[in-house]
Amino acid sequence: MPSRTTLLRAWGLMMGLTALSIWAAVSDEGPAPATAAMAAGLFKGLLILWVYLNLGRGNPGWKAVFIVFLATIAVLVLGIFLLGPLVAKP
Amino acid sequence: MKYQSQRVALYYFAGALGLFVAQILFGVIMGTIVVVPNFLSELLPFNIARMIHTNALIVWLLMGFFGCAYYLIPEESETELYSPKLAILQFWLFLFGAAAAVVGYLFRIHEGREFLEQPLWIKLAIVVVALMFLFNVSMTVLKGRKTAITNVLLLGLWGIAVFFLFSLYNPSNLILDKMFWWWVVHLWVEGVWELVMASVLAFLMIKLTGVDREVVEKWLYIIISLTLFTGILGTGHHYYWIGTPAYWQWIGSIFSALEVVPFFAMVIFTFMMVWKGGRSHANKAALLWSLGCSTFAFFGAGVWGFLHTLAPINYVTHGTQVTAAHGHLAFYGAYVMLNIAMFTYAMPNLLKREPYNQVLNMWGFWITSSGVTFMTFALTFAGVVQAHLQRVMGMGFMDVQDQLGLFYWMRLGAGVVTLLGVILIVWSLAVPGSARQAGRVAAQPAE
Amino acid sequence: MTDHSEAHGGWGALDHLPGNPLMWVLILSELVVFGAFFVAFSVSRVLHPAMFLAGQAKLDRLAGGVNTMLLLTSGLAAALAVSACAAGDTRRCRRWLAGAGLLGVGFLGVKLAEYAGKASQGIGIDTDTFFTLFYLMTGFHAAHVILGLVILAVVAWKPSLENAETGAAFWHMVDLIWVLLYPIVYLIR
Repeated sequence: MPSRTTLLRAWGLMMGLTALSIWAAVSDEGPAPATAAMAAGLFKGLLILWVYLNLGRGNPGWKAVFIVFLATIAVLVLGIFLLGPLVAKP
Repeated sequence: MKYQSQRVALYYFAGALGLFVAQILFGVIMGTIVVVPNFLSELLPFNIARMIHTNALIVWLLMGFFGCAYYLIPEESETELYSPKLAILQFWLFLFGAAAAVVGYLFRIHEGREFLEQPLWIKLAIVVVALMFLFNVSMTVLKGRKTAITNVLLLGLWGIAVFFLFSLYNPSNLILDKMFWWWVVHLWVEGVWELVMASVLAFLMIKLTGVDREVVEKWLYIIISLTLFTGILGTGHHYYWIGTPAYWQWIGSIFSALEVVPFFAMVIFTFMMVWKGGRSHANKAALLWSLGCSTFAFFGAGVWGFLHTLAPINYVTHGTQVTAAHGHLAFYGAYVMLNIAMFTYAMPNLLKREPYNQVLNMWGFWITSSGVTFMTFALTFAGVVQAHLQRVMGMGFMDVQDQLGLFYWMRLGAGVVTLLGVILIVWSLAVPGSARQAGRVAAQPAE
Repeated sequence: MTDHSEAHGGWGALDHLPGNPLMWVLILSELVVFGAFFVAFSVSRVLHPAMFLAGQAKLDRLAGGVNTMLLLTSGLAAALAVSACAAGDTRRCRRWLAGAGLLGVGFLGVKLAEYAGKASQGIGIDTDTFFTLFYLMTGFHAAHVILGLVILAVVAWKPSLENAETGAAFWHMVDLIWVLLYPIVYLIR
């Protein structure tokens, strides 16, 4: 089990990241805040798994599965967002 | 066979095999009508032949399931069947209802609702048959041992009866009519029938490979979870163009695309069990059918289903021969092969025959499977050409049909091969094998 | 993961995850479904850029952010409940579960206010492709929050370590899906 301090640290970090990504998205749009928001989401997702669910101390195979899965989603979403318009409007 | 009452399954197996031959015979007749349009046109119009072909299929598969349950449940529950007499009465009532429906169709008596053409009184008789059956098997399980296999099988069988009730509901609003129509047609084959399939395969794996029950049960739970997760909302792939709201295109596409997953899990399951089990069961033919079942179901139901399940693709392929290709391979792989696997395993036990026609049966497997596979490819190509000419190029329906003649001839040829294979299968199950074969296959005795 | 889950055994790779293995079959299926929705949403955005910009402009990014924070805090409470359960303190476990549930109810309240706001502007699931996907994705997610609340209640009723781990696993997944959904649907534009 993760200690209470570890859990609280992860929570604080995620709350801060959320505030940052809201601020970034509200103040600007386009590739930079989009990438920041997606990266923050990916990082929060991994923290939930690693700390909240304690998979960080778990099986390496599953850790790889989750990293690959979440990263694939993040890369696909961002890739389609950033590169899609170039393909759609030749 | 451990319990005397398991013998009632023989009635069902025999009835199912008889209807199986009839189903394929009418299939060949239809294949002929498609290429020689005036063939039997007065006596047996295409729509009537089609009703008999499709209804006979469903009825014999259900009859087979009933037989499977009557064989499997006493053995799993470790008790005699609650009432063998009721089971025999149920069989004759069911057979009578099926025969009456077919004779009625020949005299143009039907309700015209695709696949649910049976007149109301026959539908009600089916409900009565189902209630007799469910009462009998449920009472048997209640007084005996409860296993994961019997639980899942009962869930599937009760589901079959519950969803059949929607065939009695025929709203005048065509959209609602179609919506609930799919609750029978889809929630059967892509829902509760899959539960029956998974549990019967699990039973066969325990018997044929000798793998521990605990292992098999875990696979069973995973498979049915995936089936229900994908199959229920996967019904949405029938709601694209019938007047239901557009969001069904998203729900149907995403969930039905995953319907391939439980079928893939069944392939992994059966092959893993055979690989792990290491026991060499004397009934090689039953094992061949079991492995064939999961494999052909994966391709027919899973892969061929996925081919045209996404809404933007279905927009062009809907109702073309692609659907026919998928329908044939899926029914053959998932449910025909499942039944034949169980018949092949159970009939020698029930008839107390060691020297059964194992080699002939396996020839039947390969010939029938080749026939259906070739038919599937012919129809798939026909469907792709059809979708292109008709939906993309905008050619007229009949002009396109003229272009597909060659494929339809190939389908007829494949149908004839399938009929030959089916006759071999039925022969091998019904007729005692010779002593010479017995010497060749009598390996170590097993359950 | 824990000594406890080794009591299962025989589930292969699923044995290495906390809680009931069948819950993980559900969780992994959910992740694949939401993953497919995220990718479908991104592709649709490229196909209808103007519609998506207009639709996103009508979303309340702050409400979405508040909801992220509610769920993250709720997840913390669920993790603390599992710790309490592992330490054998059933009362504290139940208290944390109740906290997690209350924050989940708060999430649903914000969501409902958001839906009501949209409805008052005449926006529904059939408005356009953007809102069809918006309602399907957030609606499916909200349905999972409701299911999660039921699961948390069951755990509070029978708080064994296995139950707590199983319920928390589901709850964290609801959390995980939201932290991905929020930037994809609300923020990226």
